[in-house]
Amino acid sequence: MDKPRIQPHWWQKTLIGLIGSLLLAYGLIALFAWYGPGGLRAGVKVQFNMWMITLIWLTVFSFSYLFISWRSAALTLGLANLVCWGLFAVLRVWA
Amino acid sequence: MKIRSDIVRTYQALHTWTGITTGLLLFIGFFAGALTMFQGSIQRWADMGTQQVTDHWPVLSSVKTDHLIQRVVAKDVTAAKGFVLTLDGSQPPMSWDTADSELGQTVLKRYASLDGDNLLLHQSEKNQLSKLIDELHRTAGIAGEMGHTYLGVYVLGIAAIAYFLALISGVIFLLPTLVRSFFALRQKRGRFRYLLDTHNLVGVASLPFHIIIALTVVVFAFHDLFYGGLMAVYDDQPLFERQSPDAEVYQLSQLPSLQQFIDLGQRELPDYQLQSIELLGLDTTQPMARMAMQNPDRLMVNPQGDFLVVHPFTLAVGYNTSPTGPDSIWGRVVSSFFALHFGSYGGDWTRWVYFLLGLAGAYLFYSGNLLWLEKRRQQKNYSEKILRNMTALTLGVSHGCIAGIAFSMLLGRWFSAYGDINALYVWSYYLMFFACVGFAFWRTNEQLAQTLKIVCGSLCLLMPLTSLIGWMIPALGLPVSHTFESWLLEMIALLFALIFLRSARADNQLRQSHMASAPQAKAA
Repeated sequence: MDKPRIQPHWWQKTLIGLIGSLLLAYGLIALFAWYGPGGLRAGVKVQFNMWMITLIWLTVFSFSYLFISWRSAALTLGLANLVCWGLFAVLRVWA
Repeated sequence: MKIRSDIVRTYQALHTWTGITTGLLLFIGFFAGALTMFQGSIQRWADMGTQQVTDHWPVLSSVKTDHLIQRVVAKDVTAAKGFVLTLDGSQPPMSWDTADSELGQTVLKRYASLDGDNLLLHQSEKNQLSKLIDELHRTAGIAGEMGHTYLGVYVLGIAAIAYFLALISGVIFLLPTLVRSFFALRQKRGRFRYLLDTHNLVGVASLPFHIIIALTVVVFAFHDLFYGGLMAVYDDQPLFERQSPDAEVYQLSQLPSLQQFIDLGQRELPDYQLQSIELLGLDTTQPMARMAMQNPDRLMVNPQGDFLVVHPFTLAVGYNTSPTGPDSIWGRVVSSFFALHFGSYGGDWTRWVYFLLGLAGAYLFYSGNLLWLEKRRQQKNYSEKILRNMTALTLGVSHGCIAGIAFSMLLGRWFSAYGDINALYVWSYYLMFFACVGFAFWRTNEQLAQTLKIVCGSLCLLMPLTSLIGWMIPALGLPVSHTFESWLLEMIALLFALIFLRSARADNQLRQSHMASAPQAKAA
């Protein structure tokens, strides 16, 4: 079975990767900030969170060029964001 | 390791584009950054003989220091806003700036000490060579401000995002051949192979350092924006507990004794040594004391040490960069990022290692650009004009940065005995930098690299040569080094000079042999 080759789609993937992974980083850190260890007000956890946003953002961004096409990049990152922020919204309302 | 060829090709293209667009900015950042490891020594070397305030001051007892503070603030109103107490004898126990200083502007710095019961006052111009190097490091020499930050800091922040991508992509597309070629250093297989092998060796060997630098530079540039975004996540509640302003301004006579500060430092950070206290905004309702605490066995937040930020009058602790206790993990991790950027751990050994890592990083970007050029020359399908301009830019900027710093160090050394030198530092750097870049565009030929290397080599050579001639012919009145620190600096400058001049000679020989074998061949 031949796997489809990676399409370059430089501009689209760069834009989607840049924004999509930044939103995802914020989403993951939002969950971590509220419901992770220590809760929202632990020490200087907010500084740690800010650093982790940068780390997650850059890491996910740099691997976004692995997506086969810009469509799959948008779909996957969009879905990941939806799950992450959806969970956050549910937890915030329910918890 | 086997990796699909389309992945390798994608990441090779990403590596090429991110590298070629940011390499030269990062070159300046890294070269100047390597020098910041020893900026104090460089400063002392350059302004030798003119700095009236030297090392080795008697350390006053804490009671005497309290006495000194009250006498000084009664006499000099400029000290009443804030001052620095230095406890380790590296400068007089009390010092303060008479105004805020910008690069190139000279501001008087005043110092005070006690000799028995006599008040000793000194003042000196704040010599700014180390500030120049530091700002080149943070802005790559890009002038201008945006908001309350230098424009260059943002530019380097964006460059660092691309640099992070370049690191990841470089590793990915190297993976298939990594095991085979990591330790290969093929000198005899042509210039391209040799550049590629050294580029890969340096890049892989110092990868953790580079990842830390890329991450920290992005954060240093954009932390305000990231915090702005976090506000939304935090339901618009303030992220930091701000110390509420005092009801009224305290009187300086209410300042606790130095011993109380020392005891506080002992309590909060028992295995640290209190080095200095910076008191700020004493005439406002939001005064602050930053206590610099040293312990070289720890990862300290920056080269001055870890910090204990307290209210100078009530001694209420506001912030501690080396926290302990149940929630301290977050602060410790954050401090470690800073420490890993600044190399502020492990004392002098780490400074040397970071100096070398910084220079190796500069080489990484320089060799990256040369590889880009060589490859496109071999492919022969690139426009001659683009190649010419890129050659001029690469050689001009990298050598211009080194020559500019060397030139301003030399001028400082030669002329700081004759008056205010701070404007000259800045102008001489930019003059030499743009002279090299201009020359590179004017004379983009096979001899360019060789010429620029001779310029850099000669400037470096002049550093020890000045001392040598001054020592042999005292009548000339040239500055001569008398300290181990200065000798060491001149030996390293000599080493730099030898490397540049040898490399220039190698370029020359290569060119001669090319011309002999193929008259129309294009050497670098």
